[in-house]
Amino acid sequence: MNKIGKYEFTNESTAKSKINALEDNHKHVVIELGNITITPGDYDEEGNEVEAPINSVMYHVDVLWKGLEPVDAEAETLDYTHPNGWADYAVEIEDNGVHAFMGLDYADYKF
Amino acid sequence: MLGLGLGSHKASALRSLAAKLLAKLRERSTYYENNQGSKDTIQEIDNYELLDKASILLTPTAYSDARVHCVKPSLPDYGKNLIPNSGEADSWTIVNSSGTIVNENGYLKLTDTSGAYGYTHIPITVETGKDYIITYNLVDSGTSSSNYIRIGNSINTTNYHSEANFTSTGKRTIRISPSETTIYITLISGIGIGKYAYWNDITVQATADFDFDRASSATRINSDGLVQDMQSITDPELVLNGDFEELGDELVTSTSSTDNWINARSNSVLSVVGDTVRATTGTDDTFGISTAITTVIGKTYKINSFGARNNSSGSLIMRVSNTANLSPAIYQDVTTDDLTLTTSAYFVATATTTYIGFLVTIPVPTGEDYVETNLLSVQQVDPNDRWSLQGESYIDSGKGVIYSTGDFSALRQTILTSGRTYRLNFDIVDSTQGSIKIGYTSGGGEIEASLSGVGSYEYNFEANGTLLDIARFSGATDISIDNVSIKDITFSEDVDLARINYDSNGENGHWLLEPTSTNLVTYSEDFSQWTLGINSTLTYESDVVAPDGSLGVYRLTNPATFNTYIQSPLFTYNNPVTLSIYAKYADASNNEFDLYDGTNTTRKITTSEWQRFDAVGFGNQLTLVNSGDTYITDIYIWGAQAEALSYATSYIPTLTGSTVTRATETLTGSGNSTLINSTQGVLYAEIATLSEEDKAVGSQISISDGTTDKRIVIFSSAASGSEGDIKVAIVKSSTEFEERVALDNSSGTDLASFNKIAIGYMSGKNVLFVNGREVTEANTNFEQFTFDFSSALNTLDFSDGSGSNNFRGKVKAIAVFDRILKQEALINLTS
Repeated sequence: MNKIGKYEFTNESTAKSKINALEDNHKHVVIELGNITITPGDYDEEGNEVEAPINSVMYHVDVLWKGLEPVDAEAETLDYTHPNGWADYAVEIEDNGVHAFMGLDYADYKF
Repeated sequence: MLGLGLGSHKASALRSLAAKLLAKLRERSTYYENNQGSKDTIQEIDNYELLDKASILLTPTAYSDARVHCVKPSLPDYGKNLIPNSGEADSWTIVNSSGTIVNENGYLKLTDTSGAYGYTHIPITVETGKDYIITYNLVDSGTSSSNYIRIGNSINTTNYHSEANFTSTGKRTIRISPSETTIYITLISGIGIGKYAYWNDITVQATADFDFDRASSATRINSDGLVQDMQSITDPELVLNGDFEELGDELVTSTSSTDNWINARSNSVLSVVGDTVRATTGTDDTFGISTAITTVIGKTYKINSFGARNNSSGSLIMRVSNTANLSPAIYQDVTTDDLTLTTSAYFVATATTTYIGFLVTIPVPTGEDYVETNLLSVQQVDPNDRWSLQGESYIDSGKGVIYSTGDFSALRQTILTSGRTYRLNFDIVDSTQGSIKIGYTSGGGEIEASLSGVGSYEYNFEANGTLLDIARFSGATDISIDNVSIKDITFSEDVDLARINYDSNGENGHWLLEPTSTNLVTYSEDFSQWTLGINSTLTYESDVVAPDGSLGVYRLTNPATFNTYIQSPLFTYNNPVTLSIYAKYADASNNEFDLYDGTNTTRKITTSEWQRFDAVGFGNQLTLVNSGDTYITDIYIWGAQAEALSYATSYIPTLTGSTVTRATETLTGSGNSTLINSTQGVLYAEIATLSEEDKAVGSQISISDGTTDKRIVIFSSAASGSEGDIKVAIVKSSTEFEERVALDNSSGTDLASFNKIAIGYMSGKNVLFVNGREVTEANTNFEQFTFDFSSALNTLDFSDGSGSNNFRGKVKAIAVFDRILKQEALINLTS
């Protein structure tokens, strides 16, 4: 089962260490979004910045996890957990947010 | 030969091996395309008599969800049966004295001697994780009341396949992926002492199909030259016999003997002269010859051809009748001379036996008058009842005819699924009377009504039933249709569809394998969401066709003045970043624009056709400007993209405010030890890199033992000074290997064009051929490199063998030969 997880870390180095700990087996697609823009900037008609964008202080990462096994394969409803201790950093949002995987709606693939 | 063009239908054209392989491939794939491109590649290999020698061959033609199908090995005619003696009863073991198995009439006869089924099994040695195709044939259920086949990891277990209680005879095929090295096929028949059944054709064959993974969708350029989301590719054709040309078996027997030919008027003598059957009359003035064919009342039959000759001056008649003497006729064709059918003729059977033949009536018999024929061909139209003919509708002359004197009449197929979206295409080719309607339920759900004009029609609709009816609209009707097509165009949930990509002209089909990439530009088709310079104009023109075939694109006009630009929402600064956008001019005299990434501008010149323009640089935006404000830009734009790569990859739509990622594609898991020889062989590839700018370090194709230790590999070099070179290597451990440059990235060789590479491996006698030439060096370490892989090679991957370093690029062909080829063959293969 493929799942999409959205994660936020207090800083980039924490995120990098979690990412680097993953095996290079192509069972996941990691997209580092970084300090995403929370509120877009404001610009005048000539394109000059009137108000700077407000970015998140958290370091954001999206992961498409491939081929996850359910916690209990014989359960009536299959549950999946975030692999490799990533649950501690997981966040849940309502729509795709600032990033999506092509053809996959986050609402259909979230944990 | 009578000189009437007779016998031409009997010259059965021998289909090429390439065509046979592709036909088999089509049967086992969900999606099939690029037939001619693949056929050309396969034919070229066959022309050098190398096709038979290839144990694995992949061309860009066939795929299913998460699978890519190989041309070879092909089932069932060309694969290697792992249980070649399965037809011999001695190869089978009876379980617990439950029965007997013997050979009888060429089949396996399994008899129950216990009263509770006879059980027999055969073990098969396989490789774990590989795919196998198993066929079995219940030839005759005999006296057995039910029959079973079980395939498992021990006798009579069913963990791979179980089929129970089947009594219908016929050949069946399944695919398994065993996780044990020994599996068992168990046959079970009987339930009653002495009860038996006949089995046959038990085969196990390895398949070399690849596992494909991407996990996200992706776009490609399709064979129409259009940008297409892989989730929108249409499913296979659903209408069977949509051209109304499907024909049954030949119904007329040979003219090489008088068997089955009838003296139509009891006054002639039948004889065979050469390959003709002749009826010679004595003194009677009417004589003839006929043959009986078995027909189904109400079914249409096509007379493909006939030819007959009459040596007298009498009239010659071809007749179809329900009597052997050919009278009365239900169809006839008359001439006074030699009689040859020039166009096909049709008749509807009114009896279960129909006679067809030739009569001659002469004014004055000479005693030597005869009529003879060596050409007569009749086949049933729509023999498989693809079309359900409702009311008075019928099939004739390769057309479906909706005919009615006043009641409901329709051509019907039950092929729809409620809730799915379909595209219907058909032609009205003749319109004599009335009109027709298109319906998708019986008695309701009309898509369209009152159609009568000759022409082509296309409708998209969502089905609310299972029936497709092309029916009389009202009143008397006589309208003929042809080329009926229905395709399911529901947006697919399948995201693991491999891509056969084409050039913008729809040619040059190839597998496209790309790395993960994210389109950093949001609203890639909705430029109204971008920032527009105050002196620029952006208009939406709904009648302009976009590169994906849809209607409606934006037109950007930048006058030759300041503040003229359109800028994407800003994205994270990247170095490198590659910008790309589709554009064509709206005004031929104002066809230039600049791509600006926030740092550099690159001038582009558009044409009247859509082109994708790109620029590599560094920055945080995609802006279209008329740099210098000295010229006017008036262009259509579509499909903007910015990627943190040094080259552009396939278009990734971002239709909302989110950036979108296309995931890495992997193609792995092909091959096994029966198809790959560990001692000697050839790995052949016709490949191209994604771009001249793509150094593609870590991009590999290998045959291996499933690890990076033992392998033959084509790879992109990461070594300092030779980055991006295409090299080959033979590796027998992480420290023992020998490599050679196949394509030098710095020598002007166009790596982004297709190149042909063949590595011949044989311990101490290795060779490398590229584009028709042997690649040699003064240092012969590669040629003389020795190895002993000890039957270990069993995997063909677009990776380093372990699943990492996945290949990225374009692929026209991959082949494995299980013997090393001679120099001339390798030159031909790579030329």
